[in-house]
Amino acid sequence: MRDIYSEILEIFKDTLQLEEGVEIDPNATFAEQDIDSLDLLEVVTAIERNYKIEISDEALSEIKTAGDAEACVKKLINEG
Amino acid sequence: MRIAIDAMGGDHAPEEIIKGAVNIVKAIPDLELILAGSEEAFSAYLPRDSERITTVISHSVMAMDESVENLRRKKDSSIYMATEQVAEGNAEAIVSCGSTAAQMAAALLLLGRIKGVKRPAIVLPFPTLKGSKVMLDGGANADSNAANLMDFALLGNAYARFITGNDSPEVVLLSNGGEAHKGNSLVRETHALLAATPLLNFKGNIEGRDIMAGDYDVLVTDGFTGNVVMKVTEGVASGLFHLIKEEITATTGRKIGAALVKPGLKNIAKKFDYSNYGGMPLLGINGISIVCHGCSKAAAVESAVRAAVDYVEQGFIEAVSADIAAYRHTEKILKEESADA
Repeated sequence: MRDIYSEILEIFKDTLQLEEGVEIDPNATFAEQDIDSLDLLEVVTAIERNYKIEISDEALSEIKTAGDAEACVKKLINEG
Repeated sequence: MRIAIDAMGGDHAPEEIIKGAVNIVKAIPDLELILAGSEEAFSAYLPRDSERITTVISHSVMAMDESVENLRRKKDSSIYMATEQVAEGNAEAIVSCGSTAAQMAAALLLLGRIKGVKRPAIVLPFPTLKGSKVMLDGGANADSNAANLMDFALLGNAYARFITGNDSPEVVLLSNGGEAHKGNSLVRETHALLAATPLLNFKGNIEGRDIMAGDYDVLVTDGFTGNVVMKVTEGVASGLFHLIKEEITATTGRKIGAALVKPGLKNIAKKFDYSNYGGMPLLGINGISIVCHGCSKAAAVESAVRAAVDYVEQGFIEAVSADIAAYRHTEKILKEESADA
């Protein structure tokens, strides 16, 4: 079965060039993990490109954690 | 050599931007320009017989105060389309006088970061008593932590090495006192990081009043402070010149003296004139994206395009990438040695 969460974490790590060993907490907010709005913009664009989906501004405003990003991507993939 | 220009960005766009483009393409024989702008702008300001200038038609503009999140929906904006020219290999650099935040966002989305850079930054030239020095971050990141400031120091160091040819530029940290214990928690923590690394020629803290003395090559601060410092400096310089002008022309006797000091004052004013600096590159971006002052007129655009050509010809991205890779490699070795000890 496809592990969307691991794929999303890889996109975060690649896009933001996180050091080896740095983990993203699925439940902590991006602000708590030093991920700012510009970082999120980059990651969301990379996610859209990777999954060939379009995340609306409304949906984006509700993505506060990596867990939220996973839920959003799964929903869009299922709808697609 | 092809350079892309955001023809719609800036207080005097599109007229002055297009005017600058037309002038500079005449001055540099092998230069080709790609202008991103509206059909209306080109029909109004771009002469039909302009050689070596092609256009891409944009349908929106990222406003100066617009949230960068909007760039997602504005892929038809002039800054996005101009940056896209570099991402697609049609141009080797992009120049814009528009929103710096939007330019940074477009650069991050389309060109990406140099490997090993977590936080790209805006580098600003600073006129001092010992020539032009650089300060960063000039406002790319409003909130920064000590690790981010360490990144800015590394980027500034790489930039100064490239520009000056000095292998070991002097790096200082802006604080409210020279001693290591001075400053807020961010400054104190950053000082500890900078002082501990053998990768930089760190000379300690300097205060705001020491900035103009210029006893350094790279001044490191957070983006919020950097932007405030830049704008206060511009404001003070402009106010001071007005005051001097008022005083030295107040009486007939003084006017005679004013004629004698006028050339000297003009030279000083030139040092504070942003158009002479020709724009600065976004540091840490994996491509050349030149930021110009929002008030830029044609002459500043011309200088910025010249700067872009120089950065491309001299291999700026390759040089900064090599420096950052070397820092990260050494950093890794030091960490491993410290873990083994």
